[in-house]
Amino acid sequence: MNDPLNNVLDDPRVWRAGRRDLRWPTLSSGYPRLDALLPGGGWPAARLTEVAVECSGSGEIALFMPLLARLSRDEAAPETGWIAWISPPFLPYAPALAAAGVDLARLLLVHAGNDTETLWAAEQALRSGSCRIVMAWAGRAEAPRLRRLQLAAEAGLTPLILFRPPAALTMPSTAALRLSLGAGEGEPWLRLLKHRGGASGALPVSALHGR
Amino acid sequence: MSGAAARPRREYPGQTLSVATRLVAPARPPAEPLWLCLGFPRLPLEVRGGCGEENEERIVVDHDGRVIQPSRSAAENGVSPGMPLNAALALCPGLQVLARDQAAEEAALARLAGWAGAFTPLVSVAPPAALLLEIRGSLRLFGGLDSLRQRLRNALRATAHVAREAVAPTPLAALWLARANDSEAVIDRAALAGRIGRLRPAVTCWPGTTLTVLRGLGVESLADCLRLPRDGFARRIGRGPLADLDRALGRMPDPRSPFRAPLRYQGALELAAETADTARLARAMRGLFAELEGFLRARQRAVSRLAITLSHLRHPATTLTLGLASPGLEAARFNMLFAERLERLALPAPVISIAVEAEPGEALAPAAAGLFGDEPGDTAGLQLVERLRARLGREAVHGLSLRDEHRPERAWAVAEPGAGAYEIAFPLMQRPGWLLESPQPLRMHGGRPWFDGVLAMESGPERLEAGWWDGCEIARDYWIARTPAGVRLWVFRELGARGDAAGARPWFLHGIFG
Repeated sequence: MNDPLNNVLDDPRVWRAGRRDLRWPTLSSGYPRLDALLPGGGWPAARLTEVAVECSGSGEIALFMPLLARLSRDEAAPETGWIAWISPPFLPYAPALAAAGVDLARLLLVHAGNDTETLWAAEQALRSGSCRIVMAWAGRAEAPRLRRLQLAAEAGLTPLILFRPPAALTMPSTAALRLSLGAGEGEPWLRLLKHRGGASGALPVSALHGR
Repeated sequence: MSGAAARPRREYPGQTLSVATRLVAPARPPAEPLWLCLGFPRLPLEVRGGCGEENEERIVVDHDGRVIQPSRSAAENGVSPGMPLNAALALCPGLQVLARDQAAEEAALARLAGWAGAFTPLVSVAPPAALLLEIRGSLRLFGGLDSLRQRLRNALRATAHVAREAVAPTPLAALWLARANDSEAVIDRAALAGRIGRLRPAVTCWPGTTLTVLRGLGVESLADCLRLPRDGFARRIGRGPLADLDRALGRMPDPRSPFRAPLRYQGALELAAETADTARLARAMRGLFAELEGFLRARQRAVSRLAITLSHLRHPATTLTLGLASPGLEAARFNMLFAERLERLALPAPVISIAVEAEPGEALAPAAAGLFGDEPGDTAGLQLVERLRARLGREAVHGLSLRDEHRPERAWAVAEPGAGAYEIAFPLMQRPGWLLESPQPLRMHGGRPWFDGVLAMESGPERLEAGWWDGCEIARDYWIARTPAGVRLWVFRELGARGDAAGARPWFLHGIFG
């Protein structure tokens, strides 16, 4: 056994082609078919996930709703931890969230005026360690900023879901996982664009919740 | 039955022991006071320009043009206290000359006295630039003299005041030792005469004529004074200095009046030069916040808002209110909030002075971190809210709550973060994840609503009629519609609306199923 070599290979920053085992813990999405598709069987638990949304209403909230509901009702620490929504494009509708089982008392809505402030607020939220999940909507984001966010997510042990316009995903990023929600045949499709270790995949959104 | 008996009995050895010692120990004689003197030798410069700017050449002069205090770099150029202004300017042409502000010095000293209340209940002001703290009673709380002095020094560093400290059994001896910058503590009254004796007579601040007479007598130190016969000393030098010596040695009582702190904290600091540099403002403010923290600690109170005034020349002052999400007293928290706020603030003009006002509010909750200090309270969560609000504004950060309402736009409300937990029955009908702020009219194509294509109605109608009692009546038929791309929308048609020319009633988009 070559220990120094193994040490290098075990470093989470080293990506080895064809390896499916993951170095990060995951959170189940609540959809068995989606879990089967996602590397490691769920959303990265303390990493940056980028989601490109072609047009609002492609199922981007529904995709995370079971996770939000579960995180908001964490029995271990009932009164702490925010579910942060930073600069959402529309108003998250409280009755729909409550119907899906999300505890509204844990919601934190932040309206940051522009992309810079949005990313700043997201970083603060991650670094504070007081959020169970951070969701942010941003257009422009330079690679160094994304890297900072990735590090903040790791430091705060908090998942960050960054919603971006599709054009933004042509730029490189340090995200652990990138996926897109976009037009398919008559309904939105979810496509895995980048993830470390694993084949790419696609799935019609309706297949998740049988609608 | 044997369960309770089998369980090992919990012993509290420490407790028993302390009870025992208390019973055995004889009543202790009342402890002798111990005084710690804090002298602030740089106060004239500090109140006229903030601190930490000793590298700039500046002096403080009194009203008849004598140098009171040069900054370090002016002193390096040869400017010394007592020098006429002209001589100082000749030595150092670029000198910044500041008039002495004794009122500000007094105010600063009073604020420091309030701050020192965090260390002892008995603080006495010794003008012009010293504080006397009776610390005998605080030694146990702070874990001994060395640890108390270390804490005091650390806290002083945060206030950005330069201080000398000395410890002695009598207040006057402590004051003299502090003036002589002799920081080694005198604990024992017996050692007092020897330690005081080493000091020069100038530390007593006796009148100049008295000191001249003493010099004429060949008196070099206070030990020489003490060797002189008492009646002769009293006749030649005066009764006042003799009494001072007696007080310093503890032969005569020296009662000191305790400082009474004001009810609210009001701190102000003048900047030596007007500045728009936010880093400099934040640094200047740091000292005031550190004073405020001591002030609050002394009272065991927290504040939930701070009023800050930034004054400008020829412009109305800028006032800010820093709101804290939960009451607090830590200077670090105030600093962080102020820095965030400052970063986004457009100053109309450079700032010449800063002021902070705070009203101590609720008593400090000692169990903020849980009963046993190990439960993670939600302070981090509240601090995040506070931090985001400091930068983005109060309205930009909020929570959501449900309301018992049928009208979709009123079925939710903005709530304080963390306060949205009302158990209200929510509608069983499907509701969209995104709601538009106000319904948007949809374009029509051939009599059918159009949004990225002709909409296909998926389910509906759900009739909502409500609000006739408060004048905001709605009467709508809601449908779930689907665009050709598969996006589901929440659309409605007004019941009473009249159709357009073609007879079709208008459609509105109200929500999106995200």
